[in-house]
Amino acid sequence: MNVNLFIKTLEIPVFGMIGVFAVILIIYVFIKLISYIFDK
Amino acid sequence: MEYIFDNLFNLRIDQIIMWIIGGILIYLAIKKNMEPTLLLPIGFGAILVNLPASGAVTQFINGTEQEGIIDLLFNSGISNELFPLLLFIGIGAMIDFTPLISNPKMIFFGAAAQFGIFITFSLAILFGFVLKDAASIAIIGAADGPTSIFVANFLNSNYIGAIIVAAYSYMAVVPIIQPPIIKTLTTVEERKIRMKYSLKKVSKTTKILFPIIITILSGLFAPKSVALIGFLMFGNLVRESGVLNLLSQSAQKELPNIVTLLLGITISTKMQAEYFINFNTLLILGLGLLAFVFDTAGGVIFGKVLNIFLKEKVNPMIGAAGISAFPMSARVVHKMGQKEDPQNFLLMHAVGANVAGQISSVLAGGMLLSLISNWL
Repeated sequence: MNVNLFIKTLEIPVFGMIGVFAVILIIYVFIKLISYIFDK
Repeated sequence: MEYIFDNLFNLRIDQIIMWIIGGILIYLAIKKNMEPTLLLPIGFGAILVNLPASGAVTQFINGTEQEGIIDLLFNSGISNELFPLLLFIGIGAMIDFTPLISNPKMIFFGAAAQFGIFITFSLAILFGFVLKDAASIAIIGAADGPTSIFVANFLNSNYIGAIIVAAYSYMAVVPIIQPPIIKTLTTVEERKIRMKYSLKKVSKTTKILFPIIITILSGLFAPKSVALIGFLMFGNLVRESGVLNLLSQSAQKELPNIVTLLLGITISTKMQAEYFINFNTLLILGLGLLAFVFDTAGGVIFGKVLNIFLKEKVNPMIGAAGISAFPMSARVVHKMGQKEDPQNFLLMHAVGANVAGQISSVLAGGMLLSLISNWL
């Protein structure tokens, strides 16, 4: 069990998950935007 | 006559075990119809590369290297990420993103269902894997073979063979893995929640702009994912353009068929007994299963949390369809919904979440690569 490295690297999953949600949020805004412009 | 039997005495017990593993994979592919396009070639390859002094893989004979055809294919098609990328053109050409574009909030379920990747990463670190291997194992949770191959190969993981076998095997058994987790995390009332679906008209312009915009945004915010996303979206653009019908058909059929034919047998070079038979392989299979479990749980719990805030409730099972295993997980959710209430039609919502999972899993892979590159 590598507890030290586990604790040290905890930021990777935390920032990874936040990063995925952030990019997805940006993509969501753009999908809404192009739908609003072209599919009204 | 002695030379005929010489090689027979070079046969090792671990190689025979690999023949048995290869046989099991072939059995699962043929008898159980589990991802036969990949498991059958991998199974056969596992036998081929584990013959003593197999000429199919690179051998050192009298100090001279003799490159085997499977290693040649690996170096030309996988170590440079060519095969998974070509496969992504085909996947992009096969996917219709309309259910997602017409109901874009489903994209968040795709993001939530990547939870398993990140939790498995930490678990793999806890079990003593080094960073590059932990990230490669975690990406089994992408539920997406080409992404797993891409990331594991990019990081030059020592366990690429076990990772690929786990990724494709668990994708094939999504209908077995997901239902008990969904049932455990939801009540009957939640599974009965109906969701309105009004098919909004999506214009051709939107469908054409979608792959271009996704590529640009991914490139700007998750640059490590742009090769995979770019090829996925290129395939989709070819499909949606309407002017490349022949190319679109080739991208949907011939291209993935040819690449898949070579991919499975090429991967088998990493199934040589000396690399494959060890305790870590079992650990990887276990962690891979956990990745699928946590992906499903992440998606379902996200749906339940959303319901605390939403007036119009969502069926939390939709979250389970956010994994990238397309279209199996969407079907699982739809079937489970109909089991509780035969008039409940969740399929289009689930498909929206499912195709969102395809994009999110690649983004998660790119994100993981970016984050761990600071540590390597």
